[in-house]
Amino acid sequence: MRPSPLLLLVLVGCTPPPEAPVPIADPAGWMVAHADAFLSDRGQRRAWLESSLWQPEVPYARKRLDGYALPNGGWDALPEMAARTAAVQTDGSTGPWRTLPATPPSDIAGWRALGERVFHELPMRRDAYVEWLADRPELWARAGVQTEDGALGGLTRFVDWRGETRTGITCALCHRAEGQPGRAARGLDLGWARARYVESRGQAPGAYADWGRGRMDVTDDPVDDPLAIADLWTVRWQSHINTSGAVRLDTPAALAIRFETQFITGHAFATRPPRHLVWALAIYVLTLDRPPSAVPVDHPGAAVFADRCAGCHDPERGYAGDLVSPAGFIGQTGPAFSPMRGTGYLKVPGLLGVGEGGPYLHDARFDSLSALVEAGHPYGDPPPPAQAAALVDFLRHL
Amino acid sequence: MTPILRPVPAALALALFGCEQISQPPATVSDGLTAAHVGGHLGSYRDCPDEAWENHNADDAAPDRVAGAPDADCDGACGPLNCEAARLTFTLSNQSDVDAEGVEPVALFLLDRDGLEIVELPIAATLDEDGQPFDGALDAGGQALLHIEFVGLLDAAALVGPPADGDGAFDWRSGVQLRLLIGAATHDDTGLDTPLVYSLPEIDT
Repeated sequence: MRPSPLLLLVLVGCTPPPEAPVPIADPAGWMVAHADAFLSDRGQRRAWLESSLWQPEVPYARKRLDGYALPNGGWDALPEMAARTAAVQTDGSTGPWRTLPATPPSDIAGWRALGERVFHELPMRRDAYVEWLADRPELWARAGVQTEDGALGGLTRFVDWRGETRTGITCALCHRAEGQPGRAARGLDLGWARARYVESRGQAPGAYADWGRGRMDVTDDPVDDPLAIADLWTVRWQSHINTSGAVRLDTPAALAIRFETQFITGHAFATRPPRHLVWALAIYVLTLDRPPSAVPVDHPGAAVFADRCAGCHDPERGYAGDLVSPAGFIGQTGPAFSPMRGTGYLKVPGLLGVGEGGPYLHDARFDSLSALVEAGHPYGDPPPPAQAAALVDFLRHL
Repeated sequence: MTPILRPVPAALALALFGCEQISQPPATVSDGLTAAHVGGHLGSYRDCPDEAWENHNADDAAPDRVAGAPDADCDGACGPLNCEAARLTFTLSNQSDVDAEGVEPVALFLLDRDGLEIVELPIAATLDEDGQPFDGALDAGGQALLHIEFVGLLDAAALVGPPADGDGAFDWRSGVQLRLLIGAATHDDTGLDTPLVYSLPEIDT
């Protein structure tokens, strides 16, 4: 996995990535301090949006710049969703209706607790295939919606702007697994579910059938580029989000705006979420934690990591990093050039929990850490066998 | 269906429309109604391509499909359809001291890259904020959030063409602009041009 990214850029002569913002040390504290500005100052929200969309001509950015926090009209004028939801039960029925609080909390514990509820209860989008799947419990295990222990999460019912009961998906569907919020649901196979749905309508499944577990194509464009569902534990240390880094996290507010606009597009521009709920959700995601790493002192792989990997994967930032040019990468670099979100770069993901299961890389091309290391990661020469073994063992402890 | 090129500038279109197609009392309140774009999309027609503008019969009544509603004619494979009518949401403000009556969106056009009207898109319904049919009344000083559902397009960009200043990298599904004209019995016509509007994505998180 040598050389370092800076050296690689020099070697291949590519454009250096933009200067990355320095993540705020206490993002939750920052968010509590700035909650009033987010909730009441449209101009401030607009400024945060514009600052975060560092490539404004990318269609993903342009849509948001055309609609969000405008002086007159725009998505701010959409009606707020009534935050009343009911979990889909294991027999397909609708559970008890519950309502998320209508007023913002006053302290960080309250914000985080609200964010946890939002993570599990707020429908971030609705789709015809989800409605179809929700009515077919016999398909849930295969689709990975229901895990082997029978647990079910992420499907929720809500009332849309017309007053009709719909079924949507929450953050937990894709970003909770094995009881751990923030862990990618690597068993989830929504491509399979989509394929079965379109087949039920007499249509060919197309690329959906090839997504595989733990992968989703998240951009509606002609390019077939399913991506691995990401763990969320290291968002707090990321300078950018989305695989191509289309959103710059120069402030934590950018994450809340990302969630708010994600909701609006996911609900077909008919409604917007109560704003304090997405603020709470961002606080929750930025404070997600996992069991502490147990890397043995003086692990021989640590030196290999420091030599070959730490130039991009910063140990002080959850082993996350900034943007890198895909020039010289092996394998798929499509997300860097996605028609909807391509920036020309790829985000360096965090590695906390990387040893708990693959597949690996943004396109999930490697099933195991060994395969990834032996292939030379996205670029560079594979380490010698002894170093590779030490490095793989080190990574398994992160 | 071949689009009819109608190179009519916005101001002229409003004037023509107001004179020839809307029956108005002699004196209407000028500059009283203003509209602002809020959001919208060009619809999703995967399961109902015959309902899109390209295949839509102009003699048919525009469909009023509820998003996610099952196919009424399904035969054994019933379920929600990937089919959703195009929708445009806007605010309408009455800044005059006269109650507005007979307010009605009367025409919606797809614009080319030069802002000229090239296709008229049939309006299916005008709904208030709660999804109920709009009664056409707007109190003096009041504001309403309104939705219109209309016959959208399978491939609007193909009709409009790529942006003149596009570099080709992101032009495959560039948005298109729409022009909405709104008439009223008591007030002068108004309208709005939208920012870029897109088809409803099936996958976008």
